Amino acid sequence: MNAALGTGGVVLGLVGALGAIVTLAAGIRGRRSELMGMARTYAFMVAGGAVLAVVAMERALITRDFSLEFVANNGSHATPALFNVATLWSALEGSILLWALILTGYTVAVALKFRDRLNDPLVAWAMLTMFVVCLFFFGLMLGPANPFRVLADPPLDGPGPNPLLQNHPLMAFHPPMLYLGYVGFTVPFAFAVAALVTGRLGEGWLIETRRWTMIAWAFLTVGIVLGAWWSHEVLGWGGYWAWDPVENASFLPWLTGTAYLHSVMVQERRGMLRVWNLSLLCATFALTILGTFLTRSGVIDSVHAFSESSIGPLLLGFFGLILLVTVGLVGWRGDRLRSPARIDSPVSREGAFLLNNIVFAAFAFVVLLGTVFPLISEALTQDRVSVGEPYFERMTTPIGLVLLFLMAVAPVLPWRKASAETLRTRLLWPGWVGTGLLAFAVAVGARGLAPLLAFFLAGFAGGAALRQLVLATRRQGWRGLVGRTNGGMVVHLGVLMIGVALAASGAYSVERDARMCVQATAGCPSTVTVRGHEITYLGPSTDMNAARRQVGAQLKLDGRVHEPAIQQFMNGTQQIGKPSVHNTARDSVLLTLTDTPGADDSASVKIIVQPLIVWLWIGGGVMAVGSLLAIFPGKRRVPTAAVSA
Amino acid sequence: MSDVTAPRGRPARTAAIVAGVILALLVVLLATRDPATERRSTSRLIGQPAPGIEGEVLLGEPFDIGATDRWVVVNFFASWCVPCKVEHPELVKFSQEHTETGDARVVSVVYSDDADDVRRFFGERGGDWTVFDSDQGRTALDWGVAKVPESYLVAPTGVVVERFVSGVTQAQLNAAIEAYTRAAAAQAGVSETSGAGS
Amino acid sequence: MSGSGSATRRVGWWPWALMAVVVVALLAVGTLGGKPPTLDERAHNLEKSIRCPSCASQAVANSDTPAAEAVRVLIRERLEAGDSDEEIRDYVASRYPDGRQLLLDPAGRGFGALVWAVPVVAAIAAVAGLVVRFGDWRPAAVTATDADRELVAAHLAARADQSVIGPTGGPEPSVAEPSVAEPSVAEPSAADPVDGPDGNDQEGA
Repeated sequence: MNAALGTGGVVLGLVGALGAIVTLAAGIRGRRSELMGMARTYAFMVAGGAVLAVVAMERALITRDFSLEFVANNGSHATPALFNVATLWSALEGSILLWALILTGYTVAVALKFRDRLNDPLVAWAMLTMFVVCLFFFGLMLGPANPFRVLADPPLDGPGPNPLLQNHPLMAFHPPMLYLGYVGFTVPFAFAVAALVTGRLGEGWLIETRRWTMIAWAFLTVGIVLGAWWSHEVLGWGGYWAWDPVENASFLPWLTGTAYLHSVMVQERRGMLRVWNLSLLCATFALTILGTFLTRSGVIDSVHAFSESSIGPLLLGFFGLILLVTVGLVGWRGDRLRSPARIDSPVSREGAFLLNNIVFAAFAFVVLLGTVFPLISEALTQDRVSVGEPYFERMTTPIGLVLLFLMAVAPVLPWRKASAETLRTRLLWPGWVGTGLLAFAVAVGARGLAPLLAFFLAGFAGGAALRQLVLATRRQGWRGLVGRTNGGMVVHLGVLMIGVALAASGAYSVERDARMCVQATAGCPSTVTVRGHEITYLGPSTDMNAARRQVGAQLKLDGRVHEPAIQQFMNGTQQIGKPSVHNTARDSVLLTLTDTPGADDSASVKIIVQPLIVWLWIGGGVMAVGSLLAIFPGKRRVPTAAVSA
Repeated sequence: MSDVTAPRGRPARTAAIVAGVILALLVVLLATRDPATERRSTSRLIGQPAPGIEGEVLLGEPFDIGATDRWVVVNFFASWCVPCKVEHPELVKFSQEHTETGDARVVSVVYSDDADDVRRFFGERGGDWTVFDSDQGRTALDWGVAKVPESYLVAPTGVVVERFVSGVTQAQLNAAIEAYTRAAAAQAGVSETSGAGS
Repeated sequence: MSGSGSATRRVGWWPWALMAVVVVALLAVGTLGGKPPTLDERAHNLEKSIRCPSCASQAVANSDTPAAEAVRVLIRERLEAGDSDEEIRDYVASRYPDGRQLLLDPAGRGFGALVWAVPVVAAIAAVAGLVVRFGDWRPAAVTATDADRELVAAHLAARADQSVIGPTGGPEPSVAEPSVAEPSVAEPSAADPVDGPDGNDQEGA
């Protein structure tokens, strides 16, 4: 029943996408607007298919219909309700299903937004591109990633999702956010392809899609931050970012997307960098597919051990197709579409954006190279190497510092050309803000060149962003917070919080392994103090249910009882630590058991104290708010020339 | 018209060609790599001399893996691990069978577990072979154990020939021993070097 | 208010010189004379640079598997025996078949050096390329030079050319006067904060 319903949905989507492609192609070829106008109907058709499939799958998961292979492999009677719904994206097939749902959602949104202009060839080409992407994902679901495979002999119960994904509600939100981001980049990509094909590379289409890009970018940002938060809360080693290939895969499109959001402003104001902007959009979309390939094909070693599947070659083929189309289009059209405008002075807003783009491109290049270098090395020299955190940290620290510097200077730069005096005047008090922050950091004992520079530059950039916001609100009241530049400054403030938190927690964390006893003895204290936090061991605790056995330790930390534990899931081969985190604005204390508390009333506890961690998550929230402010500018100017310009 | 808008040649085309070549190489590279997990399992000890086992002996008599002419199954386990409990009876049967024939034996190495729990585990479930403690995890480190249960089959020559993850059965072990014995016999035989039968 | 105030008050170089002195002094205090890293810190850094032997890509520091624990014990022993960081890394690597694979930062020699060198070379090349491409960045551009005249000619030619491709509007609406057309629809009070050229109108003029 569920399988039939779901397969029906997938087939409906596939047929809809196929029909749309044929219809649109015929419409564009014959310039027949009634055919092009049918894109909306087809959009509803594919979306209907995706919704049907997702409903069928959720129904199967909630009713625990183990006749579906996906449910048998990933569901269980013991999984609680919220996780039952979220089980959809805990494994490959379900993730692809979610991807298709979001993609068709975006397709409908685009069709509705442009309903009056569906017969414009530019929009028609964009719709066509989106349907091709839809076709690919529905095709995956009928081929190697079929979520509705049926078992002849259904089991009575399933193992449930990976235990690590079961014990924190953040896991229910991190993947959908990430996918809303990834998939959202399909829209600007589709318009970029359309612009290249039709040769209408003016600013009109760009203004139309800029907001879509912002939305996708904001979702991706939130998704990445939630992922980091989840690892900090759940994994128990005090980390939030390990430069794992899968993390890098989500970070790469973020980098190119961020570069685009900046350089697009140069195009709007000065008409320059058109081809470059298109290339950034295409790269961003291609990187989301590459990221999915790296995550799902198992070609690269990663902590995120996803189940293996035969989906890899198809994703790689699709990635190759995207590259072929976009690189070919840029090569074919690029030179004709280039703008003749030039940059007057490097010390100008556009000069700063250009430098920003070089830095972001370098950032993305470093991350990509580091991620695939083990493969390159093995292929060319038979030499197996690993590239990990130390490499990425050393390479990205200077890049991050340059970005902080640009964030300080760029917001006060006028377009075209700046005089030294303008800079001197405008940057003066932001400079003193940075100096003040630096002095404060040195006074409280912060040491080391890189973190101190980061604090100084972050203060500097924070001053510059605040200056812009203060000027704008003084001019226009609360409206001064809205709009792209001002919302962008709010986003900058969020980035700066994250930057400061990264620098501080990276440089000044302490970690202590302690063996603690209820009754203090020589060599086994009952209370330890780490960075002013007092931790007392009260005794062990156990908690059993059908799904897992949990042995914990009650630890009093600054007056409140925490209970880090070690969990053994009934079906698992691994013991999983369940840490306990105590956050304050100043620092976070992470308590993890390194061993199951023994009978001799002792417990082995790892205590990690990290400064300013909570600002990572607050910064992420501020970035999200800033993106919202930038997306909804209230009543905005109407673009001068509608689509073509 | 291109000589007006593009006074310095065709940078976009040049860039597209350069980028296209590099990206094509990347795609080829990604397409020709084996999955990481396969690389991992082949890169380990198979075909290498077995590392020593230096932990303290928790149960049974001392045993030196470098000085035996029998097949040895080195089993890594923990009492808290469910699949270990599942595979244990198989190891008991295998051990009993080969104690009689005298051509193979089992040793176990504890993986992150309590000595008392281990003794209880063997007390309840049987098994009279040598059990080493984890030597602070060093043994598992030398053998490259990722998750328990994991078992290694070591030939009488001291070379590791097979690795079994997440549980092993008596039948699997016997089949592996038989296959390698036959292959070795074939190689020792006159001309049939290709008879790596399995 | 203070916006226009700061415009009239000319800021000379001396506040910046003062700031530079303060910043350099603070950085010197914060950087020089640091204590050598403690054994704990060295151990932690080593744990971050060595992969856990039984994991896919996690560093020893981030893993609680017994194999990672064993490497931790090993690092600790060697540190207490007085080995240098590099000796310890070599020692750990030597204990494994394919052991260099455990080091998370590839060596600065041989093929592995490329992963360090290529981005640096590429970044330098990109900046150099820009400098060459925008070679006529000069304050002299204020007075009309031949380069300017060429630029204008190129613009005009391009304009003629572009209008063939895109019939609606010039290709460079923004070059002439960016904000003329744009805020005309918006209410005057919200004179488009988005593109308002920062404080140009506030302070610059």
